[in-house]
Amino acid sequence: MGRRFPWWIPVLLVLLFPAFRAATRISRTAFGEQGVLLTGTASLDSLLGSAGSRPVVLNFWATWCSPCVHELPVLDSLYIEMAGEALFAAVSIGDPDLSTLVSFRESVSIAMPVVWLSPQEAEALRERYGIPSVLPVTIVLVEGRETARLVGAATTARFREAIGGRAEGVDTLQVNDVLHFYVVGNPSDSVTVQLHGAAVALAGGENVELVDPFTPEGAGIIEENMLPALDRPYAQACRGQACYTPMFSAEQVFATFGPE
Amino acid sequence: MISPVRKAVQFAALLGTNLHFSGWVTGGIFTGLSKMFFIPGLWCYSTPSSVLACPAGSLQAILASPMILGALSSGKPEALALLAPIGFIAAVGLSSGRLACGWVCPFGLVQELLNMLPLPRIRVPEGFRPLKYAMLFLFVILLPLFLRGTPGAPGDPWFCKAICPAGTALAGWPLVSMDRAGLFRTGFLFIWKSSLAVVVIVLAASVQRPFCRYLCPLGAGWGLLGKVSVLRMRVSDACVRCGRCESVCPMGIAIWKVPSSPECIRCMKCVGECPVKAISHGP
Repeated sequence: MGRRFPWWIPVLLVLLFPAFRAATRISRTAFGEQGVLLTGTASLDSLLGSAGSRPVVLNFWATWCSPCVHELPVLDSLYIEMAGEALFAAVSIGDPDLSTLVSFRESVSIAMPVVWLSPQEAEALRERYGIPSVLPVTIVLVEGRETARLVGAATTARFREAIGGRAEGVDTLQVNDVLHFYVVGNPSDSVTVQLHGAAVALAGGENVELVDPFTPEGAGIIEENMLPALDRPYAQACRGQACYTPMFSAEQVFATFGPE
Repeated sequence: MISPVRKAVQFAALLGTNLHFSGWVTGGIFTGLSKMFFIPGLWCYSTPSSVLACPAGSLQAILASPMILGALSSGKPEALALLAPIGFIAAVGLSSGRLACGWVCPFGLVQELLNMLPLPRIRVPEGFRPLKYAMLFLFVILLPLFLRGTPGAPGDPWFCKAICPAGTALAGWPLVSMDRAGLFRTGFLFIWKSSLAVVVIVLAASVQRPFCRYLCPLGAGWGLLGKVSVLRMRVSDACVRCGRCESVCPMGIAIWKVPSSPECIRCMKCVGECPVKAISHGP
């Protein structure tokens, strides 16, 4: 012991922890090569036109939707595994700026085709397929006819059932998936306080998480849950494994979730 | 007489590296042309007053760039950017080994000042010293080059990102504390690096130059090159093995046993201490 023991080895192993942590995160989100990024409904339709008799798996998502971001690698690994047996597309219908999606793809690799739509095109597509305001939603189409619909993030097994035609009916959110809110902002900021008040009034204090992005704990919660990093306070409502678009005022929260 | 001269050179280097005094008031970093030039020492270029570039930081930044693997494998001219930090590090090391550590490096001086604090002295086992070579080869070279999200994505400067206490204490802490615009998010890495920095600072009061001994990747590189450098230490047959050189050595080495030790920072303290003038320096 003492002079001869290679103390540097255990110390090195400890010091490698952040790099190890980063490496395991990479392997959770990235699968192989980065796929194509298409823009516009015309590109999507041309992609759908190439399906032939194969099932089409359309995943509707947005970068601000943490269940969507968690779900993407699951769906992507299935895309790689099925190797062309079905046609997949991840359609971003909640990112008004293409640049948001481009920078997202700098850190996350998605092998299946990703389609970006402008807000107007996204709205039209929502109407075409009857997509609710929560994301993610995945629909399976066979020769243009919808055969399965999964609302909220799903598992590999569930996707397999849906694509194989073995899923019955429509998976929707369960009644017991209670509404919960993430309120992200400086707790002393008046907008944050109002958003928090609205969220507590609607969902109850136990279902609201106030996250201060400027504290280590808050930054940790944001990173862990892949919450959107926005430059102003927001409230994001989620129900089970599906989330609504971030809201920026108490009025907007009440208008969306308040009593009719 | 070496000691006051060396101290004067060290303070002059500290001052010369940190001419952007207003950075400490505004909380912003200097972005002028002088940052194209390297300092022969380890000093974070995000220190608010720094006007020069850290060679270790620059090397990592280039190795972590998205294009470098492709450029290296296909021989594209972009890869030549690596010659700047590598050439600088090689030139300093081959001429004088770790002389820059002892005479110029501002973080070396910071540690010497911390060592004046009245804390009990401790003896650290020798087995920690090889850690700095792992810092150089793993954290400065291999991880920035190969740890990537996807092929073609940028890597990270892992020594700066996960280890460097000089960067944490003299750039991270001041920039975060003066961050009125809310630009910085602090999380796991900030806490991790702050803990490491606190350990090194406290250790520096009890052990001479702990960062140079155990962590510095530049010192590791210069130490290895110092084995064949132009300026080297020599011990003549006149040596009486009294051990006084070892007792004054800030790096805790027995120069009379290993004159070509990669730990030697050429501070020349031993030269003045030797009662028989057996230690000299030269080509």
